Amino acid sequence: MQKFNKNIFTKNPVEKPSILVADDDKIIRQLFKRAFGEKNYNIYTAKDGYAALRKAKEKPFNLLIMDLKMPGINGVDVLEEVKKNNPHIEVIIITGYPTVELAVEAIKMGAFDFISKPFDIKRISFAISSCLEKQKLNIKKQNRLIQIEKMAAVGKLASGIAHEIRNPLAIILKGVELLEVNLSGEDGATKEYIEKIKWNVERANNIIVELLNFSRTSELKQQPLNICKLLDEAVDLARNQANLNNVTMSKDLPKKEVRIKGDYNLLRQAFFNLFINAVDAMPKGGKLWIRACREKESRIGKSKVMVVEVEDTGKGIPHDELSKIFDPFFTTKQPGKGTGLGLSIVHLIFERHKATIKAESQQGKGTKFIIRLLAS
Amino acid sequence: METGKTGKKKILLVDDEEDFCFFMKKNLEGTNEFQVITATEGREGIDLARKERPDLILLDIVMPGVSGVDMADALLNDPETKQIPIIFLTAVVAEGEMDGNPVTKIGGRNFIAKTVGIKKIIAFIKEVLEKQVL
Repeated sequence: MQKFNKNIFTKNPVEKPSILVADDDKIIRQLFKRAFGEKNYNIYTAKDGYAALRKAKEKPFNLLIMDLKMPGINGVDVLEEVKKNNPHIEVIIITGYPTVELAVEAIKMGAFDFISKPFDIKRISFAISSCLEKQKLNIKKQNRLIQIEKMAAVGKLASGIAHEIRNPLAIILKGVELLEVNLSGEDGATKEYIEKIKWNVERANNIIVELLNFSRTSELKQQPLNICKLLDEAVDLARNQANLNNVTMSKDLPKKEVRIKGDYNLLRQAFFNLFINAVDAMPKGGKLWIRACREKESRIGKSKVMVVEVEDTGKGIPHDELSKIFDPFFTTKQPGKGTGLGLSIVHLIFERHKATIKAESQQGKGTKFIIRLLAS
Repeated sequence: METGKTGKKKILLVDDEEDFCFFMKKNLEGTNEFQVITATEGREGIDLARKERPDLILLDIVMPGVSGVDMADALLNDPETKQIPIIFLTAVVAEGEMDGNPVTKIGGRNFIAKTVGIKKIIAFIKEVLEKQVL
């Protein structure tokens, strides 16, 4: 069976959830369209089980609301078939002939809720929103697992790759350096060719360095540290690159020292990567703000929360790419300009510190990364 | 910093990558400051170190059989060779772990990333040799 390549996992997060209502009663179908079709959801309808199956094959719906008794194929069979095709779809059953046995069977088959007719629209509305909320959480959880899996795979590979690739790289470099000495009397073009080879050796080596950094982020050396000092240092490290791109960096940090517990080098690297990423997003210049403050009233567990915002005036990230930016090897940069590991390293480092990072972006206006760290 | 009949410093390079040894030898000898002998196995490296008494050893870490670390331990436990300075060549350690430096000292040992340019390697060799004299 053909499963969806583009499923609700890869859907544009701002797109309205799509709901398929399958009922042979026209009044019910119209009721759903009127009650929910305008605002929050895209409502599609099917007049029987076969139509529901056909439509569910054409589009990855978030939710199927379905009558159990319809002409042709019955609801339980539709439910089974639809779930096979799209395991992430949620199903709410509505029926005019409710029995406990039927309800149990439907729930066993994976239905989220079982509602008897006639129903109150508020009851349906509540069922839809809690069902979609559960789906959202599940998708988030599964995406996390996929990402952890990918990162672990990259980490394992990194050390092996480093050794195997760096040795031939070192040989190429030493060979070219020898040629450089032997051909020192040649024209400028030869020198240029040699420089190009050396530059590319360095480029390949940098990828290895990033891979190794990536794989080693799992070893934390935690210590109490002043986050403002750390941010100052990371800003200084990125300043050169910012100047080259004509990017102005502005800091708004608390005057008083704010202490958190973490791995100084790793956190500095994470913020440095973030700043460089932002600077790269502004090739024609722009502004980069780094703000930090305690978040009043907020707690992660028992700890107070320190919020750091990194905001640029770059080109922004399209919505369908926003969910992938922390994936290893995801990059929008030209070949040679980025490995696609920078932001996934950032993500991994914050995660190891039980901190969170999220991105908000508007195309053409810029991107803001919001990091929440545990303050001591 | 001169030594021996040739006035050149004698360097023993041990690396299982033959081509790396070939180019490194040519590069180092091209400066007219070094005489380079090479070995592609740890065992052979230990024998050469005892026989030739080099001024410095450039030593690959990951090698089949007797690794660079095993070889360094063997030389350190031998009163005849324990004073010979060693620089470990590494293809594994990331610059990030070497405090951002491709050449560095960690725990009293010298490390250099193999992909570092020859000029930096030579400068580091000289630095280590000079400290040895002091």
